Amino acid sequence: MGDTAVKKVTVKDFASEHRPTWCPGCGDFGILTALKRALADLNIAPHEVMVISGIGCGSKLVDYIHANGFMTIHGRPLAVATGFALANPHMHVVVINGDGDAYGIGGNHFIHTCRRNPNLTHIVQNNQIYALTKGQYSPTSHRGFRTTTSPDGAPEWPILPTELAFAAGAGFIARGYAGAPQQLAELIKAGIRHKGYALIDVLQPCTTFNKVNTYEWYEENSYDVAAEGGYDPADPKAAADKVREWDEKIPLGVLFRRTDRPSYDELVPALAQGPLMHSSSLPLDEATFADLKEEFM
Amino acid sequence: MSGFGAVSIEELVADVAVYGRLPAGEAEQALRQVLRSIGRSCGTGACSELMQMLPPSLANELRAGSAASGGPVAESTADPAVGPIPGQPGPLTGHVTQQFGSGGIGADGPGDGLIDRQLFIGPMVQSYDTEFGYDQTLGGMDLVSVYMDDDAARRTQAVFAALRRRLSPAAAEAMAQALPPEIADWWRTA
Repeated sequence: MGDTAVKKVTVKDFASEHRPTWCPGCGDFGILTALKRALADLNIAPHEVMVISGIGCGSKLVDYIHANGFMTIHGRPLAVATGFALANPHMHVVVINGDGDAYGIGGNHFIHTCRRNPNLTHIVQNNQIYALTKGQYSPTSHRGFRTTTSPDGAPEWPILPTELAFAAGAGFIARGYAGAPQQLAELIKAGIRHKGYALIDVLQPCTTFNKVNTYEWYEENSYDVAAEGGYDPADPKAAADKVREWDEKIPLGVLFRRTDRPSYDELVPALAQGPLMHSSSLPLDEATFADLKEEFM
Repeated sequence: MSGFGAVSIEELVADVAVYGRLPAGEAEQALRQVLRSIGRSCGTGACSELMQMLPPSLANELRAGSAASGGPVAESTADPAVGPIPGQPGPLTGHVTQQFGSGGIGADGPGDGLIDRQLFIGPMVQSYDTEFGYDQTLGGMDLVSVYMDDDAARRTQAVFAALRRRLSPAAAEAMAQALPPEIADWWRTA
């Protein structure tokens, strides 16, 4: 087969007719740009990707990209995405949600998705605050972080998603920064290539409600793990330390990667005959299908 | 060569204050923020004449922005640890080996070509006090920064006007070529 037969996907293929309603300067713009760039670079066409989100500012991204999309309920996109990936392994499944959706409301799903290792890419827009609900502290807000509902400062210690993912058995753990979309696009590409669950935690400035973790703050407090030289994300001992770094400087890049575990679809006995979408044993005749459509669409 | 000489902070701030109708403190803040965004977006390579013109503390803003942008990512195609994409042809089995280019965050970078209008003004918008209105459905104040968009555009254009008039036409056009499209329009019409 010659290369001339291969389609060439461009960023414009992902252009949506919907204009983002995000605040001006929001880091979500950088994440959207990076995702489109990554998909185009990987030559993945809009019909070949499923973007699944939760609830929150960032979860509206599904509307702003021309691809298959499903905005689920709060905290549940990983559960829906796992089911989708099992049913149709031919699609590239990308989950996108905020830190509150991913690590708070969806915290339980997050832990079990890490250990379960379904084949999906999880991009978390981590702005360290609940923004859509007008600014409450989130699971990743610093202790003492003042908001309208915590005027004396958040009393809790935050979780560190990369550390939690490592402990729960995630096979690919990376951190990007929304203000550097070119670099973020490369991390997303690496995550999509990874067979199994890939977490990409993205530092995302919130221009309206988080005046502490600003663009400048992230840039002054982060560093690239590749720039320090000699770091091997495949070394679990080194990664165990790297995923815990935050207080001194925040590491960006691929922090951990293992490929010795099969993905979930390879382990589920019910899928030994192939994915559900190819199964002929489903009791879904045309009338039943029409009823389902009528009920849910 | 441009024939345009070095300029002091005071001169630039005074111009930005006039063009943007801003007090001196806010004019200097806008100047520094826009220079950082230029650095993030264009790197230092496309603004060599601007760098030479600026006093050291302002040139450092450009460098800081450039350093934050990282750079293009090199890839290898021989990393067996990362599997191919099912159903995808072509050289897609590589992996990021040099994740953030030669320098990454913290080193001098060539700029990030994916930075758009929103990311360009983002740091400036975030630095403003968030505006508010009363919203009964929220039970109180509704904080929004949507009004900051026009203000950020105005301040950015004021900084552009102060900078562009001091550059040679060739250097000004080189800057325009390196800026994100909508921002480049602001630059050309400043």
